[in-house]
Amino acid sequence: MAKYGLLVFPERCTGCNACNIACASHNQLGVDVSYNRLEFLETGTYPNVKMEILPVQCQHCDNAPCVSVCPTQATYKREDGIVAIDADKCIGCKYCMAACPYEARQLNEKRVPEKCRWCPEMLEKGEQPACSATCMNEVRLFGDLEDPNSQLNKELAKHEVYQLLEVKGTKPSIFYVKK
Amino acid sequence: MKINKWTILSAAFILFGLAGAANIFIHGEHAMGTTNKIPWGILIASYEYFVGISTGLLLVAALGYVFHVKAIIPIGKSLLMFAIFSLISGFAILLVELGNPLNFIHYFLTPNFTSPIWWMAPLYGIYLMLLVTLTVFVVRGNESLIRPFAIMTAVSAVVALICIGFLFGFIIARPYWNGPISPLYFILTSVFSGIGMASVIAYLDGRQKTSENLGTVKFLRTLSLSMMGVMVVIYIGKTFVGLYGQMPGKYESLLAMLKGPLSFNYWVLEISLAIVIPFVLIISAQKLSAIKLGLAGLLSLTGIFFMRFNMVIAGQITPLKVIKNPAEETVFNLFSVTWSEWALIIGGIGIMAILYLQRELLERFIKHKPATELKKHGDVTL
Repeated sequence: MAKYGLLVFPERCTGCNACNIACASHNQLGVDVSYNRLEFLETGTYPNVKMEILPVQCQHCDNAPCVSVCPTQATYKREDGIVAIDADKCIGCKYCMAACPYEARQLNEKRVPEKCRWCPEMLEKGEQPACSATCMNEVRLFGDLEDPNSQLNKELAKHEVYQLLEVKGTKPSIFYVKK
Repeated sequence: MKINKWTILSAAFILFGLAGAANIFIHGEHAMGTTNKIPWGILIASYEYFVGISTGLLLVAALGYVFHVKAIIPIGKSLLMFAIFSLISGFAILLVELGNPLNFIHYFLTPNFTSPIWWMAPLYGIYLMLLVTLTVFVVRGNESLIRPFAIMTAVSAVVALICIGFLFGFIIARPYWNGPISPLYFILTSVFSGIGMASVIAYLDGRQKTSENLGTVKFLRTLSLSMMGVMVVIYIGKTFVGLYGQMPGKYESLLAMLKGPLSFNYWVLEISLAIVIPFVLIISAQKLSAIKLGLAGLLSLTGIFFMRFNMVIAGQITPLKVIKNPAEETVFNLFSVTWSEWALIIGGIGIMAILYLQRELLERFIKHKPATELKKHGDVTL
């Protein structure tokens, strides 16, 4: 069984938002809903300033707070590492939204807090999800963390990486390459 | 059924609440002030508020039924009944707040025992059952059963309050809520709201001045002042710890209350109404005054409502930025309350009030002996 992971190269991101649009189109999201976002950070002082861009989405954590707090197991961790949602079990308490430190949850029209699914139907075919496939600079690289020969593991070995809000103990499945 | 102007007003409140509920059922989250950044709004605060009053009232009543504080006994029955009615209001509001209550079957089919929300249903269910049983025993005068059931109900109330504390305290994403003191905070603030409501009930129940009623007023006066002292310690503790440590997330939320977008709510509607004005009102009374104590209780209850609201919003008002420039100023998340939400809260008050006004009907129903028992004694008049 594969265990999916994602490596993000933030320095390659231009902030074009194509990932966001491709995701919305693929998942048929409403106008107010977005499964991934870009966070912008200005650093330095004039005239030596620069803009850092960080793609942020559900981190598919191994110790996911949303999974722990969901009273009906509507949110659950799949064996392949994906944190998935069974909308039919969701009572709409929004505890997952309050508990997620990455603010990854988005309430849909049916009052179900949705989020990035990592498009398992595409990963299972060996394809990259819509956000990754559309990115002109190959900012996102999906792969199997269990397979030592996967491109993902090769890249992880090459770069120094970090995870978002590691201090929270959520053990995300997304790694970011340090600049 | 007793119908007077108060019953009509309560019924109007409930109708308004139903209109709000209908609007939320039709338009979903759009009819609420919640957002993706602030998923829990005033309805969650209201739920906490009403169940807090319920458990608080029960704990005040337990002083009489468990610890034999005689001053509480005259209003004990009313406290217990109000505790039931308040819980019903809380549940009614929560039912509307839940996005998909029809999926509730999965609460039992696929339970998640690591979720404090899951534990809320069985714990409050047990509490409600015990509370109703205790009330029946008190109304029927089953003296030997009152104390053991009062102990069990009080324990279940405290456990349920601890669970609400965990519900917020477990959330690592929200530093303002996260922490081990959360259960204790809920127990103490609920007792405070219970004392406030008991003061109002003492006034309503004892408008004819009797020595018994004066004893109740005197005891509640001391209890109110003592609890205000405890609340001051809590506020000082929370404020100093938050300011001193400047822990990211908690610090910004505290500043939002002290001098940010929640400051009016905090200083005027919470601190002043819950503690300062009631304290002055009680202290300034020359003699024991049931009306001043009742008014102080009413003001405290209003202030505690905003205490719940501020606590819920403060935990979410600080943006959850995964990367932050220390030089960047915090831009707080926006929050709002819609008419539908206010309507639901007013409806909740209406439910509580109408049930309280009709409590004699309930008492008569409880006192009514079952047919089997009557037949056993040869009494055929039903």
